[in-house]
Amino acid sequence: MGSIIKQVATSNNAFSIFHSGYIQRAVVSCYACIKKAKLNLDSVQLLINTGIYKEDYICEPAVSSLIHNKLSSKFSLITTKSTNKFFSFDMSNGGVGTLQALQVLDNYISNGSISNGMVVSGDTEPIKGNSKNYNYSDGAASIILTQNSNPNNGFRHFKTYHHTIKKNNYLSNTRLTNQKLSLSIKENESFLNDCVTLAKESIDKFLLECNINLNEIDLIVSSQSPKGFISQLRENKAFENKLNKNNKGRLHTSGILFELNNAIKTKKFQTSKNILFVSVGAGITVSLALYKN
Amino acid sequence: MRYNSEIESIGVKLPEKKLSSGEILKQIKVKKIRLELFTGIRERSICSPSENAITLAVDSISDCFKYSDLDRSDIDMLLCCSISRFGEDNKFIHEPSLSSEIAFRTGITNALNFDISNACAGMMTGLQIASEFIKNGTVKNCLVVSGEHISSICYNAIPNINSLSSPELASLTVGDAGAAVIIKESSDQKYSFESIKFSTLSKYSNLCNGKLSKKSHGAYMKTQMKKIHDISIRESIDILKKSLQESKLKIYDINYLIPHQTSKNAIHEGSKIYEKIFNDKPREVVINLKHTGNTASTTHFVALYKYLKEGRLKKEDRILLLSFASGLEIGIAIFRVNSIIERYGINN
Repeated sequence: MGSIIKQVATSNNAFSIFHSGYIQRAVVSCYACIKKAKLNLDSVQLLINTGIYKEDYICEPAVSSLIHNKLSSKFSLITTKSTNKFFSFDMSNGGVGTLQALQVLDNYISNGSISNGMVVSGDTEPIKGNSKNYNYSDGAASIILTQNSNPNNGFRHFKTYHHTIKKNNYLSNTRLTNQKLSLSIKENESFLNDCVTLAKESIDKFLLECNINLNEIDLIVSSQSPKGFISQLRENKAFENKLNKNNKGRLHTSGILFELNNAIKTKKFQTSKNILFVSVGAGITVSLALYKN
Repeated sequence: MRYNSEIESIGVKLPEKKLSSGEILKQIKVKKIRLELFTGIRERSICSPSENAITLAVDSISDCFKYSDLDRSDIDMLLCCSISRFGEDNKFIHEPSLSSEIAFRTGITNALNFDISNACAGMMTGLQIASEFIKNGTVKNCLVVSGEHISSICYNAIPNINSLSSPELASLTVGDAGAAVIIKESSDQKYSFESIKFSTLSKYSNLCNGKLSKKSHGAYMKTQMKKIHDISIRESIDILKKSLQESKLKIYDINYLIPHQTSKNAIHEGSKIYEKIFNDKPREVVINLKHTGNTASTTHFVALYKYLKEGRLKKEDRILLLSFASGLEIGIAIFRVNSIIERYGINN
């Protein structure tokens, strides 16, 4: 336990037709993240991609390797030796995948297996115009975690709560109909309320486990999906001043990193001692993390 | 780096329905393909209409628990490592995760779960992640599972193969399978993983790619077969040397080398190159293709399971799993056979 956040970067500009799609946005955000962190590409030993919806329904290879290949060109780094220490893979778990990927990185870093790891996330409609109820914005975000010499700060605790009784509240799949691949998302009317209710319950349990009170939490960094999640959480007075007041984002897997980036830009992150990360997603799954500055 | 984790049990599910290489060749225009001769694949298992990636995973977990000393409630983490995400009615599932559905169906409800995707290196990637979590003390018992319903790649390739250089030729080798392995915290360091190493050579990420098909159900895969094979063998030498060196081993110390199961000829060629480089060889290079074909991320564990069931392994035999996957992923895991052997075998 105890990796620290080194850098975050985002990319959501509507590029020209030459720069559309998730992979390109991911490359832009990773590049910016590594540069801002004053690192080289080969300092990043593990890359995890947690984006779910990507162009062209790529099944293999892992999208992380495609992102790294394009990044290598940007850094003019040709990595062909297998003794290079770089490894990448994809992870997914709906809206909570990104926070869970940070837990995976944290384990690798805490063990000393790697010094720096990066998570990149984001989504794009796989085939434009061929989806039902796909309402997420295009965007990508990256975060680098690094080793921490101070045992009292950084990521202190991670926990995921699975509420499988609600598993059919949000279903997303693609089918081939009339020679067209069509993505369909079915979200029950109660999904948002269920996410908010279960998030609050999970937060209570989590803080008890961490032996910390809610009034000691200075900042809550939350996933943006489902739409309306942050606004509804904020209706609870206990959370109101700890959450982003100006959230209008409709990002899915990268939303939590956009929220974090916003908190860093407004200095709220740097001036907060105890930070609670909250994400929810299909399942219904709630993933939480406690971070100390 | 040595870990403090070891294999506790393995389970496999192979669908009963079979598709032979002969039946495939009858449907192909090109007549010179010696599919069984070059690949060693006589037949492969194919899902029936009621089977899919999820049912394969669930059934392999049930099989795994038949040999396990653990209960479902002992599992702290469940990783689903399938490339294929096909559920009922050929739907490709995005959310919720396959791991959450599998956890629900198998009653493993207390475990942290998520999906991993790393082409044919998926399960071995899961092995490393599980071992990192166990090493960090985050979990004690992790179940790594994969259900590969990939036979559509073969069916979708058949009409497109017009020559021996078709990029979809490798698709004819695939078969369906589910595999599950429980990784536990080691009680005896002797049996823990001596090394689990991975390297991603993203420069070669264009050599094999698979996407959902817009013409028919399932997916298609295009591979530059010769190139990916040559580069995989060449680039694996350094990582093999490093893993063996760090574990203070020679190649001869390896009783069974289980490479990713693609084709008999490819494995033989690779073995000859290793023998030249290392001036020696493992006691046996495992080829398990005759009745299963290439089962993607499950190949190593399908082979290991077969050897366990047939009583071919002895306690303390040293196993090396060698993974090659699109990306280009090269992975190695080295461990010794533990008391798992007493629960498998011909007499059990």
